[in-house]
Amino acid sequence: MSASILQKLRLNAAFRDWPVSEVAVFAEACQLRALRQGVRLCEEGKSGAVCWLILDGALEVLRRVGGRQVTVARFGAGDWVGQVALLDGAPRSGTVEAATDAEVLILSRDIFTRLLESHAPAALRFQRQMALTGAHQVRIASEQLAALTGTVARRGRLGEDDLAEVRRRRSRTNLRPTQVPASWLPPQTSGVAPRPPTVPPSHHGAAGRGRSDD
Amino acid sequence: MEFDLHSALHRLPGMHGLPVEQTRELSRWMSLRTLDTEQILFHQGEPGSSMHLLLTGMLRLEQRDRRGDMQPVGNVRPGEPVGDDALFERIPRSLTCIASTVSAVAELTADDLAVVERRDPALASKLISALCQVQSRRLRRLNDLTEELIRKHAAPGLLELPKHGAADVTVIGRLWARISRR
Repeated sequence: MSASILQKLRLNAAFRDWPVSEVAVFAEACQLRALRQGVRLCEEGKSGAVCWLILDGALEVLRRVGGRQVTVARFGAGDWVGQVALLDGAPRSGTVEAATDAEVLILSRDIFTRLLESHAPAALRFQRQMALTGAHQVRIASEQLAALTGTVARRGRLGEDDLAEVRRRRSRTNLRPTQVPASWLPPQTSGVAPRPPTVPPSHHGAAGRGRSDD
Repeated sequence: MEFDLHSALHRLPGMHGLPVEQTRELSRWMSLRTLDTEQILFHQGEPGSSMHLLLTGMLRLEQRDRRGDMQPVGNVRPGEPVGDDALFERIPRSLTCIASTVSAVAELTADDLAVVERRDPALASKLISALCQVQSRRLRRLNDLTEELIRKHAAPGLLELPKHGAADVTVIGRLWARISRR
């Protein structure tokens, strides 16, 4: 097992509360990959077999629009990207690229399935984390729908600002447990907790180019 | 009143082949509750620590928008869970859930799920995996609804793109493209 992977994981927000022994199971099972800016990890519409945990840097999700790629979301250190593919194997909803030089941990469906079959506590904990991420994504989508529905009810139509808000919300779907959007709370108790610390910048090794993880 | 919890559990994705013994084990930890029409199961903002699996009837979900007005955001049908995020994190309910008709739900608390995890990790794993897949479907449905709403109500000219003309361009994609150009 790579001691450096273990060390990076222990610093990562996604593993902050995990026992060291369970982080070690993940460090053993996953692959580390250094990426140069612009490296493509998967293609929209193709089936997916892996997901990525961002250790450092940023990934962007792009969608094909009128023959060109547009950015629809951006994720940073501590965020999981593409994890739903481990569960349902559905086609990727977007293309994922490194927005900066980055370092990611790759978890494949095969490894994930084997972890689940072994009933390793780490696998169950990871499942919980996926469920939590999914719940946050659903909450934000629901919040967005409610906001747009309210605007339509009051004004009859949606303007530029409303649509800009759509994109802004989609870039914060991987919220940490400590981040509770103000609109989820009753008006008198509203508040947003600060974003937890993320992994510090690290030296990148050789970066792969032009290779899709799927 | 008899409820078929076994069938409801089997309707969750990936739970179809679950042996009767396992659904029986899971149902030991779930408690049944009936709701009258318009009875509120939970309010947005109140603390949540359990999920509810709808056995019969229909529930509707409402959410307060930024101005404080309640907006409908979906319905829950038999076999579907609601409030399941509270199993994984103790945070306020993000929605208000109301019975549209006389309904029955089976409740599983976060504490009881933790017990199931200790006693039968494989069963807990199947349930959590099923809930993840439900979330994934839910997310797609919400995105479709949002896209439809935008398509119907965006101000004239807001969704127009330069002449690329691809047939598979989605409305949200057009928005993103438009916003990206700014």
